[in-house]
Amino acid sequence: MARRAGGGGRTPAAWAVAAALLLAAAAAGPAAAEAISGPRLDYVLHCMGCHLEDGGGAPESVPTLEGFGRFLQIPDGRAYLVRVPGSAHAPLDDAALAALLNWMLVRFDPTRARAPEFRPYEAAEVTRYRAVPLADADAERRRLLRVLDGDPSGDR
Amino acid sequence: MRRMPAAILVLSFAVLLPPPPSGADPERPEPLPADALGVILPAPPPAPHQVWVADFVLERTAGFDANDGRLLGMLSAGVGTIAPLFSQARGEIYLPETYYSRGSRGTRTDVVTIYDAATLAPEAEVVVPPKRADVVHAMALSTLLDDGRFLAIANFTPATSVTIVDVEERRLVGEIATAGCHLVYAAGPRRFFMICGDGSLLQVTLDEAGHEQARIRTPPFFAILEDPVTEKAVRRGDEWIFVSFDGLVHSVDVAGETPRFAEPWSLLDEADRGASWRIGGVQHLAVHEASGRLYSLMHRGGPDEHKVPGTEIWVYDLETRRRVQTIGIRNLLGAFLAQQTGTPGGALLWLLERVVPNPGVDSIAVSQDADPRLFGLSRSAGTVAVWDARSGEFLRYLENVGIAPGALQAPWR
Amino acid sequence: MSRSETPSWERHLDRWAEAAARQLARGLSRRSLLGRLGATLAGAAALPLLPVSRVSAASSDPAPAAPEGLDGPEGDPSSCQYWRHCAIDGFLCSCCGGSHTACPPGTVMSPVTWIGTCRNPADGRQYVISYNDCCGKHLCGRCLCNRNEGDRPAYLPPKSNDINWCASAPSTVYHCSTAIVLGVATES
Repeated sequence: MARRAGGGGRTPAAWAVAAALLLAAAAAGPAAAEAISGPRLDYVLHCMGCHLEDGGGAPESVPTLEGFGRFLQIPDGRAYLVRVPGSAHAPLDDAALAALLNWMLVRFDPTRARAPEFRPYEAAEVTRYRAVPLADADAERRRLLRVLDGDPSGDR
Repeated sequence: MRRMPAAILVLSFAVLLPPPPSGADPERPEPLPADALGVILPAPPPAPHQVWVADFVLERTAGFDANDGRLLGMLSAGVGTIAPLFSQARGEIYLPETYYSRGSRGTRTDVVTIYDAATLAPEAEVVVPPKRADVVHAMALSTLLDDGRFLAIANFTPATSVTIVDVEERRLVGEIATAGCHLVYAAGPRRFFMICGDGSLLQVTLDEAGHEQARIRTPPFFAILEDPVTEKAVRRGDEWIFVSFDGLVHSVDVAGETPRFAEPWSLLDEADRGASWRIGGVQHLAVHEASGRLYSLMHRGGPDEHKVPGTEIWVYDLETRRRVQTIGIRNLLGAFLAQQTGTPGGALLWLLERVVPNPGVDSIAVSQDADPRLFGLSRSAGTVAVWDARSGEFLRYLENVGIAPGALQAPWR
Repeated sequence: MSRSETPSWERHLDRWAEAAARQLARGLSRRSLLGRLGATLAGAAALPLLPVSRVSAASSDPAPAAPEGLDGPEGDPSSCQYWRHCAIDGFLCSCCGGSHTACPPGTVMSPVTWIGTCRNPADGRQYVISYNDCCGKHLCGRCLCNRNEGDRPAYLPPKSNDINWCASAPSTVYHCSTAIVLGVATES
């Protein structure tokens, strides 16, 4: 087919132009998959399935990560972000979990993560919090949110 | 007509009727009796050798008599997991079901339908939160607590929680938050446990009204990263028996206030491991409670083969923790094909069993009577093999149990 | 069901052929065949992705598809043995009117899912794969595929392929599964 169609009088130059166009089209095709590594890879593999790429989560089921740095405002909240099952149960050692949480804070709550008072998680701190699993993570979350919203009944 | 004496009425009909064909054909037998219209049979009384097979394409679970292969009756279910709970004491079957108002779309409604085990007819339903988990193996997704009053359903939205239903009063009790822990296992009349993502258990105790009274979180009892247990545990009295991917038996004793974990032991010895034997299947465990025999589906293969069908059933004595028997698995696909040709036995079966690839067995179950039957389901062949669970003798095939068979249960005692 | 037109034996033959092909593609090479070859190969049985299994998969495929994707020939995305399907459990959307990265017409892709990695034999890279389910129509029923590299029990939802991941979609009715490349997993 190609011979007949092209045999009429297409010059080598025409072929070269066609080939160049094809190459350009190929180059403009789907971009190569990017490399993912470090805490971002851990987020993709262990969190993103439910929390989604933008941290938006799912309505009434997976809380949004947007602004989740507010939990850092109270000590129990700082512990909660480690003790919450999604963190505590991730198949990561304590240093990797600390790095993941710090990356998430920068990614999903950049204002708080760049504030001068921001103190990143360290491995030893994660070890301490992780050693005490939450029996009722949902109740703890509700309690902390009440405290953060200024409701004194939320405090123990 | 109204005042016509009965005798005259009978007489007038007798005159109208044609004369009986007396002597017309002495060779011809009497006509068949007329059938009654509208007859509906009751279900046969529950018996240990009845086996139930769910089907997620037919959206049903059907009971079969393993002694003769008859289909006894079925329950229609909605979409998603089909795993009925059987209450011998109350003569009822509870089936958590999911329906959409337009079949596959529209408004979702989840119910627990209460069926009369004697008629298999729905008697009542309890509407529950539209959250119940749908997992293809259909195991540990709901459970009936030990005295048969409360039923627990595992939810997944993907947030996890548990719904409690009071089947005695036929009402929804409520929902219990259980973030980080999933699946439900009965552990007493008012108690169940779940497995958490760090390899620990969450034990929840209910009060008399079915509301949460207390919860305990145990330490991890298995190595969740290196060698996790499957969720397909079996129960013998107060003991729940979990088995890990690498064949370690982790027993959980739920008799006390706190779950107790026995020292793990292995289904495999060095020779077995050297020959690459491992566990595998959809329901890879069964236990006969009275005799303490544990049945385990085994095959030879590599890592990540924890769902590959078994080629043999290994039988263990739970007291001595030793393998006491090995049951080979015949070719259920060969049996299915032979049955389709109308010659379920004989030379063709012999040939097909040897020529057709053997799909193995995906799921096993055992009856709990003194003359127990062992059941093995091949999902791809839609066929169940029946063995004498004590001798290991093959007894028969139950063919055509479904199109896409799921949960296999031998619920009655 | 329009199947009533087909004679019963023919349907069952179809079903048998399908089951047999599936069996060949999935397990025969690794278990029965190697088992029969005996002890000399017993050690090899422990290796995942044996060449034999790829050969048998290729021979049971009706026609090898054109190379596609990232970096050279990768096989047939409608085949269970295709590298991206190393931990998939369900019907392949590429057999259901969709593709291995897109849902069939009229379905809804569940945003919530589980994510794993698969090694592409063509370039030796570990790719991050998102197994989003397509939802809202009944079971597709074609190209059932169950592979379990790295799969974990349902109490570890982020790593479990047994779960119906339509759980947070508008309709949780499961139709088929995709295998979408998110990136290349790289050691930092």
